[in-house]
Amino acid sequence: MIIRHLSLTNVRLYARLELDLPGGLSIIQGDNAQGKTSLLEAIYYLATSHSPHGTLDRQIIRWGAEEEAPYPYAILKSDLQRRDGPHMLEIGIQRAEGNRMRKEIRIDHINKRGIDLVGQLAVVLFLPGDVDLVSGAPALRRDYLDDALSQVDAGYVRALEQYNRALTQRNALLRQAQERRIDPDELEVWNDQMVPAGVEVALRRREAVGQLTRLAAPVHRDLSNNREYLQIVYQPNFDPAAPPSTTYQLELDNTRPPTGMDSADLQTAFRAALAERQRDEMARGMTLVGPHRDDMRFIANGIDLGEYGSRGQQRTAVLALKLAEVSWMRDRIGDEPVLLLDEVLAELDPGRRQSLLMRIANSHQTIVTTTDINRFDQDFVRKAGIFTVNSGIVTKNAQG
Amino acid sequence: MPQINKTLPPSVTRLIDALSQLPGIGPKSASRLAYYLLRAPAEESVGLADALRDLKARTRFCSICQNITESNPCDVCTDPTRDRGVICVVEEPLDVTAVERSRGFTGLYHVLHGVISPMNGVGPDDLKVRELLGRVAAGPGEGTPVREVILATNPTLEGENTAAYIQRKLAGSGARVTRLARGLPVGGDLEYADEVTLSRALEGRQVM
Ligand SMILES: Nc1ncnc2c1ncn2[C@@H]1O[C@H](COP(=O)(O)OP(=O)(O)OP(=O)(O)O)[C@@H](O)[C@H]1O
Ligand SMILES: [Mg+2]
Ligand SMILES: [Zn+2]
Repeated sequence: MIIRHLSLTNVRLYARLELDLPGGLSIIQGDNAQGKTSLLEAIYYLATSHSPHGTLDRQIIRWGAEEEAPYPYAILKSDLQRRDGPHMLEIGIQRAEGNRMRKEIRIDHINKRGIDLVGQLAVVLFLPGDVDLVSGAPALRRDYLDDALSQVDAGYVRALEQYNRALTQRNALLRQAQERRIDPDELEVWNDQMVPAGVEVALRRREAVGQLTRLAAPVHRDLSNNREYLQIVYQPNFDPAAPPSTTYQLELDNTRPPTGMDSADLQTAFRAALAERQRDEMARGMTLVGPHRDDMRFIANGIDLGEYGSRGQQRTAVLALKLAEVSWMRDRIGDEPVLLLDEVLAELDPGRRQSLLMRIANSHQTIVTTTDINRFDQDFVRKAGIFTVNSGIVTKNAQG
Repeated sequence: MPQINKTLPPSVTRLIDALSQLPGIGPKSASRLAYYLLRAPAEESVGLADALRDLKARTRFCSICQNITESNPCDVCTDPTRDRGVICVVEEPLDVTAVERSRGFTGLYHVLHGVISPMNGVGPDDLKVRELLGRVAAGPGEGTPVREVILATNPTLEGENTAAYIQRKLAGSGARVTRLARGLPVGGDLEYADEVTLSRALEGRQVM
């Protein structure tokens, strides 16, 4: 798919932007703090209806917009060319009374819910800070999986919503258990909501990680000059088939549930695990078992990169994952996602840079940002649309 | 309320404060309403004040179904043509109005006045659950035995959960426990369901 046109009103430093974008490659160049990241963030927002890394909606609205209107708003719009024809996505965010936020989503001019965005605009975004995915807190990796799956799988969005909501309620009940005697049935009915949703979430995550690792391994081998073999391993918090050892075996297929277990078996096992920890949960006032505690590890040649990888190795692993995500999304939705790369080249050595440029040279649409266009080789620049951004004004450079 | 001007007389600020306590009304709407009333003829604000006073003074919970009523028991509970063996359990008084509008139901009601929601500090004992269990458990001699309890809470997570909890508590009571069929949009409110959808949901209810 291709974003033909992007229109922003009051988004970050963009008071107003009307930008035609070509298919293939675009390079957005500009000095620091001119609006490069904000532009990619806006596109990501249109795909997911939220900013990357938990940025709040209110932060998106341009400062100063409140001086022009009592209830400041931001509007993001895009014209898409998809395999199934042209489409229009629009998201409006407005600060409402009592400091609340209102959000409206329109697809082809019709008001829709957040879940309806699944499969509309698919993007893969790589920000410089994404290296932390390998070494940072497990929550980062869960968010990554949630965001990736939420773009392609409406069933996942539903299961995750139900799980999170039931979990919040269950945790509140467990906190009350510290002050009053709770009826076991009260807890049991929340388990009935949480367990099936949790198993659904875990199964879909397992499948996704399995597919991603299979796609990422060859990319990574290439990026590392055949020196490293990458495995991305899903580590469910609740794993009835957990191997007793901590070493990673070469697993050819980890997309399926643990051997011989179907969804019903997993639910039974999840319930058993909850029952076992119940006393503990009541004492601590929170749910201690379930996919809200999942993790995912990056292993290269048997070594956990999160703990022992160099910064460069971690960066390469994330890059391989993101590039794998492009083909993964294509497999899942039958259309090519838009690839957004923020300042990635700056941090790669020449070999890896070359290998990356070759991979993206034939993509449907890739938008890369840079402070210095001279980092790209001439051939590459010749094929790309070049834009310059200056204080929230984007101009297309004359080709030549 | 930082925006409210210190030059306003206390009677105005008091009204603005009171109005902005209402759900969905912020300080700006509250001031707008207050100024409207200030300018409107006196009858209008007196009428509103009377209505507000009567709201609490004249109404109470029906001792049978817990609906809001001026006469106890309420008109539905005292209607001899209604089937006393069937109870339709709803979240709010407005849900009774919605089911009545569908004309698909001739039994009695039970209003819970909310749903179980630990994050809002609402447990079964904060609702009219015990009263419902008492109605169903009331033995022979105390009136018609309850044959069926229809759980018509909203199809939200909390509504489903409340229905499941009540169903557990009614197990072994002898009454058939049914749930509204999923004709209702998930996440939707009974109050907003149209009459056709609602009467279909009533017809297609299922044993839990
Ligand atoms: N809500 C907002 N309203 C107005 N300006 C904002 C808002 N949020 C962020 N900014 C400003 O927008 C500017 C551009 O930020 P952005 O991250 O897009 O720059 P960049 O071109 O990616 O810079 P760098 O090269 O340093 O990464 C920054 O100066 C930032 O402070
Ligand atoms: Mg930037
Ligand atoms: Zn009554």
